[in-house]
Amino acid sequence: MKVSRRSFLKGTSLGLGGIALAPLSVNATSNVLLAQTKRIPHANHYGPFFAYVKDNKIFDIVPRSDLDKKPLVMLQGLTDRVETRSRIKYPYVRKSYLEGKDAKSLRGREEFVRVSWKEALDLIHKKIDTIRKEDGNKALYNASYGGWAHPGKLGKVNTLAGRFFNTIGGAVKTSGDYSTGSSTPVLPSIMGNIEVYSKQTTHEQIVANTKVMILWGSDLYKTNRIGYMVPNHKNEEWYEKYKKAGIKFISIDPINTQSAQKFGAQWIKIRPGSDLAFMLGIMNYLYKNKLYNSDFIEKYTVGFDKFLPYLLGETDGIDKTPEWAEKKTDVPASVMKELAKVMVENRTLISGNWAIQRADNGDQMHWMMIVLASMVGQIGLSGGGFGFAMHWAGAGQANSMQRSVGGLSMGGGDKVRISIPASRMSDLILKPGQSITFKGNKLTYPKVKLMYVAGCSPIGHQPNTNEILKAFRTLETLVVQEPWWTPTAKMADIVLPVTTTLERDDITAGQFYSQDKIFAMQKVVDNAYEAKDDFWIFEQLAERFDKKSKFTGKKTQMQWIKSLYAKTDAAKKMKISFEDFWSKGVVEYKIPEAAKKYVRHQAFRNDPVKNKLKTPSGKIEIFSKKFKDLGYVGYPTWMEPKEWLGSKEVSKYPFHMVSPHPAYRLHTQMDNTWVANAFKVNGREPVSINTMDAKKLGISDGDVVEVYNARGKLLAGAVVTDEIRSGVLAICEGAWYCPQNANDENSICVSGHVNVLSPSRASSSYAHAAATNSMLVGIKKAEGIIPPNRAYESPLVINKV
Amino acid sequence: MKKMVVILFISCKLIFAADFGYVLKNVDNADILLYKGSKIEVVDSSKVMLKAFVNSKNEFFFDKNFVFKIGKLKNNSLVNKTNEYIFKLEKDKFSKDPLESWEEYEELYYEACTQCHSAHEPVEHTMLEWEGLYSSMAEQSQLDKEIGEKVLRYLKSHAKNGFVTP
Ligand code: HEC
Repeated sequence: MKVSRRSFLKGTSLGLGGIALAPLSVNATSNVLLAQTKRIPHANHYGPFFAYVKDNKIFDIVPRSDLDKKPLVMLQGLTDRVETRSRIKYPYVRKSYLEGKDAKSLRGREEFVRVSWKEALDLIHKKIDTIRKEDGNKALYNASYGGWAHPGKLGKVNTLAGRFFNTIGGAVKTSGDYSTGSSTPVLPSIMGNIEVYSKQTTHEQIVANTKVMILWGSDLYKTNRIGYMVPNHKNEEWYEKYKKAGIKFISIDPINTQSAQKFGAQWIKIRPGSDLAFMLGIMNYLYKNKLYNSDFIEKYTVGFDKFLPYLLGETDGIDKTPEWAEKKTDVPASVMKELAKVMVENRTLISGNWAIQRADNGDQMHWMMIVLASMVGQIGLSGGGFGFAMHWAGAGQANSMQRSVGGLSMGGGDKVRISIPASRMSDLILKPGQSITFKGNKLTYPKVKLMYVAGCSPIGHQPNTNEILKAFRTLETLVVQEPWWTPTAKMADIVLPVTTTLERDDITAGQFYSQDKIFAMQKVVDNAYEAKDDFWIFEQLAERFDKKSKFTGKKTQMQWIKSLYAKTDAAKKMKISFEDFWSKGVVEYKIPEAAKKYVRHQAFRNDPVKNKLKTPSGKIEIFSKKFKDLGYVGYPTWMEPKEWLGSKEVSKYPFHMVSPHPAYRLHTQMDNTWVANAFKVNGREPVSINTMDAKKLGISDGDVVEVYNARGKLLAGAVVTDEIRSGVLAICEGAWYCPQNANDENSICVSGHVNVLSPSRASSSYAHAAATNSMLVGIKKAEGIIPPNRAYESPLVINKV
Repeated sequence: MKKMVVILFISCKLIFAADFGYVLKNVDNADILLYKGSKIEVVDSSKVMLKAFVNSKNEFFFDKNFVFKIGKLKNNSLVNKTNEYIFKLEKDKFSKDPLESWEEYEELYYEACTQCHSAHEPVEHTMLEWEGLYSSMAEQSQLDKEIGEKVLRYLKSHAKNGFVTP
């Protein structure tokens, strides 16, 4: 592929920005270099780009500024991620495991021995085969989750893992997710829709009609940076238009977020975990002052009559006034009253985030917010109502209404038919035989012996790290398939090295909501060391079970890519050949004008009979008979969180810790690159602490601090700031766990991985989701010699073959 | 809303003894549309029966809330006084094994709905819940409409309150 010098220079503002100013002779040299360089189109969670490659080395990564309005600095970490010394170079087996000794407790504590691919795969095959024969497939646990490792439609790792296990009769699998696990099982019964991942009102409509936007925990700028597929960062242009349109922003959050600051929002410093009380206070005021929209309640909802006595305290003797709520929320009653008026007097859009439901009683949060929005009465009006996904995947961008690219499927064949709620990983392993009622259905944890993890790092996302480490040390076998020595890989018995997205061909789509593009993810460099594609690995395993053709569908990877492309509208309607698409690296779809008019719930509002909701009543269910019949109250209520600043444990652990998304990595991804490292403080994850709190504790900006509770302790780097409310700390999730001494039980984590501190208890007895944001901790300045952070180094390996 | 009984006469004798059967292919003629997979009761060796709820547009539903459509009456003159519709049905048009009748749609379900997450058991949800969940997912799953309808029929038929119990 030829590159003109002009286009190269134009595209390198982030890469080799200085080159244009260099003397002529250097330019001449660079031209020669350039002529030898191949330009390869690729795209991933961080954006679309060209990789410039010479002699199988990545020479530069240049964002495609024509397709990406605000390229992320994370793109510049991709080369680092391919070449990092944290790469797993060869297949490895933990030493004792290879020797056939039953030394489970040595997981994460001893060296690995290099083996050949054949040895590793034969070993896994033999193990799975024996367990299947002796205990059945229900003793196999496929913990490959989420599909975040790889945005390719072919290489989506959880799908490939599921597909492999389904060819051999299935395994215990995962239901729901860590992100929205409290709301997804509830909202279909309230709104007839999952809401948290559904299409949102378009930016066009918001700019034209919204007067007030409530950022209820939402940090629109930050969490829209990365994409589930490939982001275009058009949202940031729209946010500028939000500002110009004069939308007033109100942020209800313990943190003065990046978005709140950029939008110049009014900051309501709510006490974490008190949101339900806050909503009740507003609703109580709206009702008593006849400010609420009774017509809306009448026409579009059911069950307000059952909820009202509770709101007024007739059922429990507690009138949920703003003054009552003030004591729970630390927000003056006057602020709630004022907000109530602002909401009903202006076209108001409530942007509810997901973090509030990753907490104790999380399944009440969005339900209560829907009741509030119903009282405000703007649901279905352009630019009003609520949106529970405004902060994710470019929401607000209008949909192309074209078919972009679908993916491989896991297919049928699962005879185990046991799905555990995503965050119940430790319970599954540690409590075989225990039963729970999940979404109203009885579920009994089977005894799992082998756990298979491909394309994710449970030590990253599972709450209570010390508990999951303990659980891992009880398994019979742990297989991890990964490009890097993640904390989870270090705990494995068998480790299989995998290619990164840059080392394989794939195809993917643009933004989740707009479906605006199809991208070629062309292979940029050859596989590093002995790394192999996930597809190849599962194909090899399937072959050992005589299921190769079922797994591959009798297609090679390139044949799959072509067949996925053949089903798109680009191929079918626009008649763009695969070859043309592949060499250009992208097909763009036009966004039709009609799509820009989309308003969430508008059809229902316009005609609630013809377009009734998919709920039993056809309306919004403020009261749900389903939940009443299952033994719950039937409408959302305030319940004290188990852990919050109102708990008696505050005397020991006086701070509430929240764990928001990171800005410079994607969960745990990219933490092993210079980009994430640039934002560390003193070599570890930052912890934000309020200036006054820090002063009281003698903590200065940049200090290494110890953060602790009964579940664990960690070291972090203090960021002293006024942008977090007093009594609250924040550590972004996703730092790679690193014990100071792996041989200790509950060793201190010297890297600052926040889940060392988070509780693994279920958010509710219905949803059984993660409650990570309900955690109390203590903090103090670290003393003595500060140990180094070795999170990104490989463990000891013995490389003799 | 009327509850109707649809009597389907079988042109040849039934060869299997069973209480229930499932229509193997869409029955679509001048008189009636009956969807593949619909469950019928066997009355005797020459007669099967389909109980259904009928709306004002003469569409048949499995349930009184009109969530699961199973067919449509096209020829009104076939209605008798006792609210029975009488049709002829070939015996090779149905099977006693639900799988035989539903296998094709089951595969479509796995194909369409296991790209992002593993399959949810249809029996986890009611028919109505599946409508809501399906419409939440349809936007994202790159399905064409015709296949989507089949997937939804599969989910409803096997739902908690559907007519195929696993
Ligand atoms: C493009 C990706 C994608 C496809 C394809 C997809 N889903 Fe989903 N689905 C999601 C996401 C994201 C969630 C929310 C997280 C989770 O529960 O895994 C979800 C959740 C669900 C849930 C769980 C709701 C609960 O109670 O927790 C059900 C049921 C479901 N999907 C059914 C389907 C069906 C049926 C199809 C096929 C028509 C489908 N999905 C196709 C992405 C997808």
